[in-house]
Amino acid sequence: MGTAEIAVRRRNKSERLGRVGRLAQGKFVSSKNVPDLLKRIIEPGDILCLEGDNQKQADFLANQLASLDRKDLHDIHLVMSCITLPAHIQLFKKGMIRQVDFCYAGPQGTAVADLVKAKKFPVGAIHTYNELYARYYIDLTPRVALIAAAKADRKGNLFLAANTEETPAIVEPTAFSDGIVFAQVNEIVDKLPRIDIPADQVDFVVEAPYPMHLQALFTRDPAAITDVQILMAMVALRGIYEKYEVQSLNHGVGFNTAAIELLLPTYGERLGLKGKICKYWMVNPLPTMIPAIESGWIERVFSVGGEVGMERYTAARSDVFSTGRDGSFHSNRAMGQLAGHYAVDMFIGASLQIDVNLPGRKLVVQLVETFQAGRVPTFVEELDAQDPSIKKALHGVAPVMIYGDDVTHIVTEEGIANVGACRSIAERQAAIRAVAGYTPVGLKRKKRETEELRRRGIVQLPEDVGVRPSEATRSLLATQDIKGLVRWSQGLYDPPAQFVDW
Amino acid sequence: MTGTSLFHEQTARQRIAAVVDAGSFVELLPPPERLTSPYLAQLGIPVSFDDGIVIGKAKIGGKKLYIAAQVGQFVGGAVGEIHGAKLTGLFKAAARDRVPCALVIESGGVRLHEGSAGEIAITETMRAIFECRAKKVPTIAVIGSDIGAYGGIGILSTCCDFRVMTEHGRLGISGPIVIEKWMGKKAYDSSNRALVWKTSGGKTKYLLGDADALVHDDAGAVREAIGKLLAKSSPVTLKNAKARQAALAKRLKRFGKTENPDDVWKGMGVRDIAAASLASGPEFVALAKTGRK
Repeated sequence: MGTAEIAVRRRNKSERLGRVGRLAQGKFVSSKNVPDLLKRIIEPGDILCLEGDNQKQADFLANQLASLDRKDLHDIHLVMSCITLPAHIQLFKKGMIRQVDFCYAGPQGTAVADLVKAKKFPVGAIHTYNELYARYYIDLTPRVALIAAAKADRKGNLFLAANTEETPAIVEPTAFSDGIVFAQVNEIVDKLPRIDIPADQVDFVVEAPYPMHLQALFTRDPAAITDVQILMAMVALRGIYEKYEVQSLNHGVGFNTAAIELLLPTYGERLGLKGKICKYWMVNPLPTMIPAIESGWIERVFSVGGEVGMERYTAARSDVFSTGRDGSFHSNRAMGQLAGHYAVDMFIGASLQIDVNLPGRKLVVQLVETFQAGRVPTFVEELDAQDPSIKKALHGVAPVMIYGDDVTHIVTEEGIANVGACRSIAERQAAIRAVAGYTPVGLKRKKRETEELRRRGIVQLPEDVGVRPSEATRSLLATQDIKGLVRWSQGLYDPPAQFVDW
Repeated sequence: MTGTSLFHEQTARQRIAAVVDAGSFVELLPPPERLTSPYLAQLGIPVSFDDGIVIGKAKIGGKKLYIAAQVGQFVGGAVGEIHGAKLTGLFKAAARDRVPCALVIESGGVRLHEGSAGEIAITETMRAIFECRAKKVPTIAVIGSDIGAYGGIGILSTCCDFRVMTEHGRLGISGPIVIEKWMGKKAYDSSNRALVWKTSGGKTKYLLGDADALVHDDAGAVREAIGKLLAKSSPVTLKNAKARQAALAKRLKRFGKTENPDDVWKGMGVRDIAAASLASGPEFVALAKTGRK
């Protein structure tokens, strides 16, 4: 190897920066110059990262990218966590993308399905967040990363505010591999409240004409929690949380787990569980946690992201939440995911479908109603994700979120199936059937089998864990509406407008 | 702060049971009588054995009253011929027996499937209400459900002597979506829940004097408010009607051009809008005292 081959990447980066010329004043780009600048800094064949997960989106930069033509932008290897915006779909429709590696499609699920059918969705692999972030450091390192921040100062330091999200996980691998980091910010100011990303890792900054898209994704209105969800929550509290004395947990973000949060100060208190369970949490700052926090249940919460409206509350409860030197909330998606994987006693959440072939250590609990909206059964013989046509379209990838091997318990309104304790596949199937209610899968259960599993404690019905279904009513919740959450927060929670009716 | 059953989440029968003296309710024309809508049957639409309204007699604090509650889960509590006839009969019985009558409202007005019959039924009920009022028999409308009191039922509620509301209750003629459709989203955005409640919700109606009591979203509070009104009546006289007309003309002049509902609150003397927005029932009444004179 001659010296000529050394630092090709670094030289290439300086060539790209050289092409920018007067389109930028130092690091700062005016919003009207963004399309031209993108053309000059992105090259065919690049791995391009577009920041966007389920909450926070570099939407201005995505829209500018989508305004380009195929002649300006093609053969792009797109890496991003969540395909969320119409602009993302445009990139595929315009044929700019050679390959995409991502996590999931979110609100654009139908549009992505259409792209798959039209063979315009060249998927590499579907990842969990941390698989993808990890690959940014190894084989999917972005040449260019388009990111979003709340504020920049005149040097190009960035402030990410409550929604740190995945920004550091994108910036670090890019900046330390001679990639280009381009940030859209809501505002450029003289002094930042705190520095989350140093200017040294940022190449360009644009003050976007509109603030970044931020979804209030995890606000669950207590008014929409049903009696059935409350029953499930009671069963889970007694049969899992109490039984295993769960101290630290990675909580889901649906209505089922919201019901558990709202039962802690009432039902949980009555059971004498305060201080014994649920002390350490990896979860976003969910408004439904406010009553439990105010009642002194929760010692610490670390979050992968923020939640719109929780800014003042989290700042005021800095003993519980992670906050910066400026006093405001801080989150980190990559680190939060790691914490939620390695540092907790239990993961509890809900999947859309559970198949009966769950073959079954840490508690991994699925909390699901037997039927979902529109009377769609939750329990199926085979997951839609295993459908050969889906697998074929995705080049053999089955988009399964959690494999059965990993699940220890399934909780439904019918009871608890301890699938982790089953001795065989057949036994596991019987346990799942026992709690699958009136779904086609559940109707195949045999009474004798269920009774035998109950005797051995593998299946537990509500009465087996001391829960009276007649007691499961909404009046058991610490509060039944969003306004009650505001009151519990002593006026510190500012719910998004769509939840306010006062 | 910890949960109880909220009035606006209860069903019609739960509401009556929670409002009246325990065990005192006797339902008239109950579901086993199967008085169902002939129109819905003709259209192949499911019917309900009570046609969406529960009526009967009961006691509050030992005092007799007739009471009705609309069933919002059935066609939005809308009034059809049978539903309206049950209601008319109840108010007529109240006038005949000189026993107060309360109606727990949850209705958007006339049932579209039987429009004419429903319209006539509502006017007949209004006539029966005025029969009560002529005899000084108290009539009370309770408005505290999610659906509210709209259309013909909104008008009917204002024919009663008194209106008891919660902050969840809304009172109006055209519903929010209809207003938006005719006036445009810029004039009235029906998806702006705060705007909808601040224009037609219980608190604003109380401030403007359209509601006579504003209580917590709780059956006990509703019971207490009804109990207080059982011995009172508001006589229908030419003088009262003229005074009301004058008051409405003044209101129109004062707030007719107002675009922000907060300005109506301010105009009615509410100083701390944020605190009043969060306040409920009597807390709001205390904050609003100066405004409502």
